[in-house]
Amino acid sequence: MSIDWELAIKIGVGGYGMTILILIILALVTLAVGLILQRTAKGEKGGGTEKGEG
Amino acid sequence: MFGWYEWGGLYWGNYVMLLIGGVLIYLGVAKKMEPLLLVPIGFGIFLVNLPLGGVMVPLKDVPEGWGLDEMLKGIGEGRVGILNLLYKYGIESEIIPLLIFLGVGAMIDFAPTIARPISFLFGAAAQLGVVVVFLIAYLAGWFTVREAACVGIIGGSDGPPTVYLTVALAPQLLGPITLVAYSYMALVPILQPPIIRLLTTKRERAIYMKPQVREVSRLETILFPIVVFIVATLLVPKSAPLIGMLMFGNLLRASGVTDRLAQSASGVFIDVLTFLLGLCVGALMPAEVFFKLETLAIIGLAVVAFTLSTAGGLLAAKFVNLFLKEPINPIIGAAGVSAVPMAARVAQKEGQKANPRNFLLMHAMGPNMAGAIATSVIAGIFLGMIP
Repeated sequence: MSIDWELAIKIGVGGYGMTILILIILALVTLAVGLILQRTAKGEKGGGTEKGEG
Repeated sequence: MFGWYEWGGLYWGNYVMLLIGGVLIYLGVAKKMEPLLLVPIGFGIFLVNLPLGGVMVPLKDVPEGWGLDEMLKGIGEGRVGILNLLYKYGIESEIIPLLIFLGVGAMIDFAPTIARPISFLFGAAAQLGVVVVFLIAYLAGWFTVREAACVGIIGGSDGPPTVYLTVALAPQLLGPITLVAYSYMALVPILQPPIIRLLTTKRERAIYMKPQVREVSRLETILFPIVVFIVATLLVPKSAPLIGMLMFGNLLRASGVTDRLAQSASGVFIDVLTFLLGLCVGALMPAEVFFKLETLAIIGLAVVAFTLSTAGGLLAAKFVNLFLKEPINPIIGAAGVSAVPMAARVAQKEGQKANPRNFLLMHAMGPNMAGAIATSVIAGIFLGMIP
């Protein structure tokens, strides 16, 4: 069986690198969505109190 | 001279397989190790190694190109078995592993991953064993590039992606690979602790983590499966079936308005599919398929894959600690190998041994869930890259 070293490195090293990169992107997106929602919730809370007081 | 070995139409290999099937059933029933899978797999081994019953004939004996009509006729004539039909339309078509993943998604609460997104990094790092074993298996010349990828994916410790990838790339190895993957997953509580102790100091294992990371809102848990599915599919289109099913199942749970569907998906639905998968996988292991050098190689390589994946997640957590003001307990990185929830339980147990105040279960669930996503992603990458 002939071994294609280039393919092996591409899949092994490249595949692992891509997995890490994609999961980092997912982490950043999750973080961003979380931050946006937390800020929005805080803003609404603040707004709600003002309205309530008004 | 060895005629007695062939008593009852069986040869010695069938008897050994019956013994292996019995051991699996024993481990499932008496030791409660992955009973939902090991018991059906064990019984499936019985079914195929008592060939007189014809419940499933070896795949090589099924004529190529047979459709549903021929299969049904073949069952009537005794040329194929009822499990051959189930295998062809349930597993070879990838329907059962994907639907099982849907059920898994409906069981999972991603809140710990959402609360600490760095968990994704540990899940990704814990795929180290997958790629290293892929390289060993292929470069040593033991397996083709397609087979090597399927052997490597065992290191991800996640059943449905393992079955999905193997059916797509090397269906002839589905029996041994699935058996080895689920057996080692059952052995996570035995395999992981020595690796954790070897790679961490007692001081590191004793690092205390506050019980609550932060509260995750309902909207976040609803948006999470949608966003992850869209982003992952745009980046790795071939991972769409796996991630899609996992995230759809999770959306049923997270939405809060499809409780009945979520309960069905995570209840009887997944149970039925799991035992059908187990029976078929067991029935893929007649003695002549199991007793091959490549099966022994898979058993050995799987240990390497599990070890390296555990080490990968753990070392990633130690690396991250270099940059954190409030360090995390590196044991939770080891839970990046999927094996939900056993790997998280191991982290909990080891953490509490080192520091009785520690309660790491929820912290470890984050990387544990991220590991399930990471294994699906790397399976998609393999599918996209391997010719």
